[in-house]
Amino acid sequence: MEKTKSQFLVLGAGVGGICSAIDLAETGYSVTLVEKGPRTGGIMPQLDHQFPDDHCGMCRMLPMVDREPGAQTCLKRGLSHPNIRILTHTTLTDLSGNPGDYTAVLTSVSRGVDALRCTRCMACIDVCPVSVLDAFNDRAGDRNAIYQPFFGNPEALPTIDWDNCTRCGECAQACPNSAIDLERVELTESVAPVSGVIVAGGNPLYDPAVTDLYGYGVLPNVVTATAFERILSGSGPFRGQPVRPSDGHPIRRVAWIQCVGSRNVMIGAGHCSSTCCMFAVKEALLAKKTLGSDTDTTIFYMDMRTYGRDSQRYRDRAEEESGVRFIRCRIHSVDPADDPGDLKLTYLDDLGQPGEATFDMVVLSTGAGVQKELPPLLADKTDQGAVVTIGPEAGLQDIRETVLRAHGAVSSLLEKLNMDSRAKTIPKTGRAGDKSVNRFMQQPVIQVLVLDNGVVKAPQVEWPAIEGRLERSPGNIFVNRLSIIDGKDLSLELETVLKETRGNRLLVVSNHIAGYRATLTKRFEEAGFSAPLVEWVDLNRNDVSMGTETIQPDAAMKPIQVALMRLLHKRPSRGMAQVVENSALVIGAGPAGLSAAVSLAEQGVVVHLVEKEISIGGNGPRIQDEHQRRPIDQLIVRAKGHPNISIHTGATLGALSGRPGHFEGWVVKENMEIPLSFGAAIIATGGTPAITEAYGMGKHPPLVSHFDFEKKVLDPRFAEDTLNTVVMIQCAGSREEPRNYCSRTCCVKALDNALRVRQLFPHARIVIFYRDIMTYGKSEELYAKARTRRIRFIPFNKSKPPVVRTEGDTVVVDGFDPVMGEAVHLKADWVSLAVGMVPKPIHDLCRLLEVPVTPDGFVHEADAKWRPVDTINPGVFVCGLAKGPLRADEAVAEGTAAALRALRLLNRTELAPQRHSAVVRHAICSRCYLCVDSCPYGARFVEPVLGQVEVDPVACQGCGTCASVCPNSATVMGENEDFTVMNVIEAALM
Amino acid sequence: MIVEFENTLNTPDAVRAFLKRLLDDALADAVLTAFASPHSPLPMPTLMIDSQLLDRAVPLAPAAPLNTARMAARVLSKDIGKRIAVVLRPCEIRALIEMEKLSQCTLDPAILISMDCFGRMENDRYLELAATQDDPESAFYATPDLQEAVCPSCRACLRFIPENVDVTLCLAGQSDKKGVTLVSGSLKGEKVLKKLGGTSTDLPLGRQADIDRIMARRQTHREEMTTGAAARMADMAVFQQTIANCLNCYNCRVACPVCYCKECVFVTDVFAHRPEILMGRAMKKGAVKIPTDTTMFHLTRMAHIAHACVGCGQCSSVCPSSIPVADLFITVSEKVQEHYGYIPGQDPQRPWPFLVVETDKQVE
Amino acid sequence: MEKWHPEFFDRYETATVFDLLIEYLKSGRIRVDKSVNNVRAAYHDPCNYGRKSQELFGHGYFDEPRWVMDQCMSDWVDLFPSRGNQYCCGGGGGTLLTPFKDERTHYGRKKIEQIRRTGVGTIVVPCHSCHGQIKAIAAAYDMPDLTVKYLWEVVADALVIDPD
Repeated sequence: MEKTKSQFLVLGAGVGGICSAIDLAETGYSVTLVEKGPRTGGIMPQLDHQFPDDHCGMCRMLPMVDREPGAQTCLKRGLSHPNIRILTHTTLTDLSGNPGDYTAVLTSVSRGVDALRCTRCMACIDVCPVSVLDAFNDRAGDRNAIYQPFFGNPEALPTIDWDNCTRCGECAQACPNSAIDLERVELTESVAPVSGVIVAGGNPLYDPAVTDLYGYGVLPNVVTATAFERILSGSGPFRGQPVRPSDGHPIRRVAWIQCVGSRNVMIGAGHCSSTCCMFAVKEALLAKKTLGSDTDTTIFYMDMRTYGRDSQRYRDRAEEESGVRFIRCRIHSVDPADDPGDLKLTYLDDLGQPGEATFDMVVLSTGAGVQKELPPLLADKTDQGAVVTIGPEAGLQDIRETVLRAHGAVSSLLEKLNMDSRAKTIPKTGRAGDKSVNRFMQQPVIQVLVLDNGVVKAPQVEWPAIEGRLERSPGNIFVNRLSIIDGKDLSLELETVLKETRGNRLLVVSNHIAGYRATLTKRFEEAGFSAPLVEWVDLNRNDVSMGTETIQPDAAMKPIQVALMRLLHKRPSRGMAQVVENSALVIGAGPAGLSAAVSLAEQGVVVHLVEKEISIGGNGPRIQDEHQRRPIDQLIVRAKGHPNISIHTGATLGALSGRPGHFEGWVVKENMEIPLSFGAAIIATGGTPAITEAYGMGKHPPLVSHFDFEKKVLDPRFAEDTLNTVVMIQCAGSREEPRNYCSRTCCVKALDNALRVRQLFPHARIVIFYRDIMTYGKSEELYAKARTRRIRFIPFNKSKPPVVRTEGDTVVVDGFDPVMGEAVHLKADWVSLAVGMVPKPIHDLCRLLEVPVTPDGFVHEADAKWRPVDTINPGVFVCGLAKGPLRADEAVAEGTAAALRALRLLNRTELAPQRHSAVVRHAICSRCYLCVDSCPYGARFVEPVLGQVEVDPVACQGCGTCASVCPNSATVMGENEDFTVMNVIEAALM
Repeated sequence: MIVEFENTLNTPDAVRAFLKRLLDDALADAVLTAFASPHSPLPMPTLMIDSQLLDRAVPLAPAAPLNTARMAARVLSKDIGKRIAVVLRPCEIRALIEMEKLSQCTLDPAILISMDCFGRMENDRYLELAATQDDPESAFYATPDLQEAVCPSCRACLRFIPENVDVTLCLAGQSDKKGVTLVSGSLKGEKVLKKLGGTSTDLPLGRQADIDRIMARRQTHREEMTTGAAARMADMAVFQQTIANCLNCYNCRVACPVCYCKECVFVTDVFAHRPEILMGRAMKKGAVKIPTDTTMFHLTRMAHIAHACVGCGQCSSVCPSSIPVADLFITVSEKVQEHYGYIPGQDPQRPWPFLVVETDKQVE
Repeated sequence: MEKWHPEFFDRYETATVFDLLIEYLKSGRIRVDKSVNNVRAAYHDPCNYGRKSQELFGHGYFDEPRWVMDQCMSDWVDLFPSRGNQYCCGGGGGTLLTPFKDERTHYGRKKIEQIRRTGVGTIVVPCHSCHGQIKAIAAAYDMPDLTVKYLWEVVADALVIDPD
């Protein structure tokens, strides 16, 4: 891609920074990625494994389409992209100017080691006398004043920690290449023009040394969660042979204490850090994997916030299959036990009985620390729109949220700066791509254009006879006749036929084409019928007409049959680039879909917004809270008025063919079929409240869903009734098989409802039965508030839920309160059930788009953490409820993110086939098709005419699975064929 | 459903009559079975439309010059709207089911017929038998000694009772009886037997005892075979000695019913070494045997199809150097199939094991 | 006092025992000899002087007594946890005066454990309630030889008394 003059600054090279930098770079912009520390990667190099598959996965953020093979590196070690310049040891010291045209001053500190001379022999590190606690291992180990920033990257240059370096000079002496310069030098650089800045500084974790109740810093076997992962890591202080820090004993019993530094009003940290519950479960599983499956792992928690779509099952499996123990009790303090090094925790169990347990190690699940304030340099520019932060104000975010926010930040930056990204990429090949590649992959459908040239007097042709024979020929053939008469303008007729035709190949038959050929060729080209897809039969040739005035049907059919055969059996030339259409199809006009559509439209993309219902807005108009609903209403207005958006209501996607970059489909509306072509599709089909019979819902009027209850509470007449008792039961029919996922929004809604009821009825009894209150992030404050307003919370396990019964006309809820140690029987005026959300049925649509579906019926995204709005199909994206339960504002944010991802594809004019893609040698292929299913990227398909296996060179990632499955190497990897590799192996081994 | 058929005829004739009825009653449009042509008593798989010609079919002949599953796969590679009754040995049936998993054939139009298999003799031995006996089929089933004269893989075969077929021809426990007992194994088979008529009956009394007797004998043979073969593959040196006379003629591969590649990789450019490569190898070691990749071929073939080997023994039958290829493959595939819990031909829905990716499983 | 009788402060100055001791020591009005107190001891922060003071008056007396300890003893340790997170002895709130002896003893279990863990023979407390409580329950927890001293006792023990 060409570099452009304007550039962006991204501050911070962690997950958010790297993601934004790649997004910007792939969209065609130059980026300077500034990192104040000695390495890139943020916290990721410190953590080996992530949910859900307990592998790393950071490299999944690398571009997959139109990728530069040399840039495919492990993102923990570095980042290499032609559009990204990385500066470590650097900070932004000044920013002046106007949005879109800033001048930035960057100040770099020397690392003390010369990149050109250092051979990574590490002699300097060996002789350094200074030893400090290593922040990389979160103080679970030491390092020297000269050190390697990331042990797992042997290529990394050592760097000098100037604050701790005593300038003794031992390292400089020990260095064989004089690569060390002990003078700390600061260099400044001015960068201009900078169009915008993304601040991705990240969020520091809470330092538990501040509170000594847990013994951190006093008791050696009490560590932070990060330190624990470092201890288990192969690159950590124990190099993969983890033992207890105090005495080197094996680690057999580990406890996690949740909510350290969070949900703690006493220290002014009333928020929830959102991520700690999940990472504690992950670490428990990691401990079992690394230390042995009989390792005793116990998590002490208040609420297990497993609110992600697949998180509940992950937690259940940890508990039920792997034996991780969960004890609902907030630990007060960690005491030393009798044996030195052992740690003792005192707790209360589910029935309120005290218990004591001894552990080898205690892990403190530390969440977000004190939020860093933006320096004034940046803070006073954020409202201009060209300095955007990846939300530290939202608290600690996990990888998925960070990636989504990065996408959103880039999108809003581009939108605000009104930059038309399409102009940025210029095809390198210089050869325009061809739409025909696509159409050759379809079952041939021939559109015959009969051009009855009335201008010439001879020869005459009996068109009806010929048309009749054509229509009876085998195969899909459509015939349209156009008459060329003096002065008649064909263009409108022609355009209509070409637009509405179902054909993907053209056969032009005329009694005399001659002068029209050039114009027609151009017209056909514009309509997507490029030269290889068109055949011409001019009957005014001597061998056909043979000089007669009238051409017999038999004679005419001969050349027509020949041309037909050619069209039916022609194969495309190989290695042609795929043209990209600068248009998108958005399926679903709810909050997510509207957001995606508007984002794309603002970037100059033509958007077809298809909505099944008669009106647009999805669940938006059903939002009761006006404050929450307003942004959706605004989106509706913007979408309706935007010149780049065409809205089709009462419509669905009928058929689809083509490949990413150029799809062709039919939108079905009533009995009309509208053909569309588009470069990418975004699924935003949304969801609805679940229907459940749990607790007898639907049988008694007082039992309502929490959505219905909200409506009632907001109705002004509600306040006029008397009300004694409201009972709410969370997770109704939810978070248990078969619908075993958290719907994420119900707890907040229940709390909102409860607080509203409290306000209207100060003396009513309000009881909420819950399993875990999922108020993550800032919404934790709502939970705290509810408790101060005398709303009673009673926890229950899914094996012993409350029971709803009737006594005459009254509904009674029976339960057990473990805090009071007594049974409760509540005669309720209302029982509000948190029923959760389910996705709209989308199996057919997903089959059409070649996108997998989760067992719960949600669209399966490409990667839950690293590619949350992509799907495995490089041309299809997904956002909103279709993918998993979330709030409306989160859906809007996802829509923007999905739009940005689609933009990365759509801003190219063509997609060239990539290096390291699979190639099929059809002559020896046995058509067993094992390779088609084995492709993890869905990049192989069977073309319908010859049953051959074809590879989509855009989707193919060169993983080689197909080649390893194929027994006779009928499919091979370009550049790495069998005999190449075999000879390389021979040279190495023999 | 179990039906006794034509109890006045001897068993081979009864089977022929059954096949004729299939054509005459339009239960099938064609029959693929062993047929002794006018030119030689060695039966070849033949696709028959004319039921008269079925008089010369020898479906029970203890001979199989090639694995009929390959031929059946060709005839059934596409559904052309014709029902084809195929008569195959149990091992051939298993191979055919594996072929369907590889999209090489479709079994929807087929009526699969198989029999309790007492084994096949090598071609020359069968020709000897056919020269001295008018009715080699009956002679074979009546003479236990002859049943020991079958090829080594058959002597060691434990899966000689058909599975996943539409109709089984019961031969075990039937040696002194007339007619043939037909057992349906599917709805399709049941429909055929219903239309055929014949008396409903039970399985022949002596069948299980006969099966047990044969099984016991075969288990002994099998253990001998696998122990012997394992010794001949004890390490690379021993293995190379075992296959020392291999010419890379690839007969074994051609004969194998589950080696399905249209063009084996060993005859493509991948192994067509250029002179520089051959010279290079020769220079490194001092000398190189040509053809190269002999050991490589056998090991690769094992890696590719050991999990699907049906033990038909055709590979040994066709080897011009008399290498006991079948012994080696049967021994290795036993281990591989045990490891995956995969029996070829047993479950038409189960894909080949190396294509199955299991997520969510912690590897110990 | 400040709230209800502000006039009191016209005539009288108030000071805590800590302020007083510190002033006396710093001004040289009294002198101490550390070597007299050659036992190993631990210091306990009472709730009222510590946490409660912090909450009510914005200042908890954590550093002051420790400075005094430093003057009077060379071998003394902090309990763990300490300062604002110090475990309560269990004898406050008037429990010493009630007949709930068993309960009071139970409340003090964590305190005794803390002391036992340090292995010291002497615990120094600046609060009479803590003094009474710890002394009373030590025997019940199998530490009958535990010496409980007031902070000012420790000062007194180390006082250098001029013969004249």
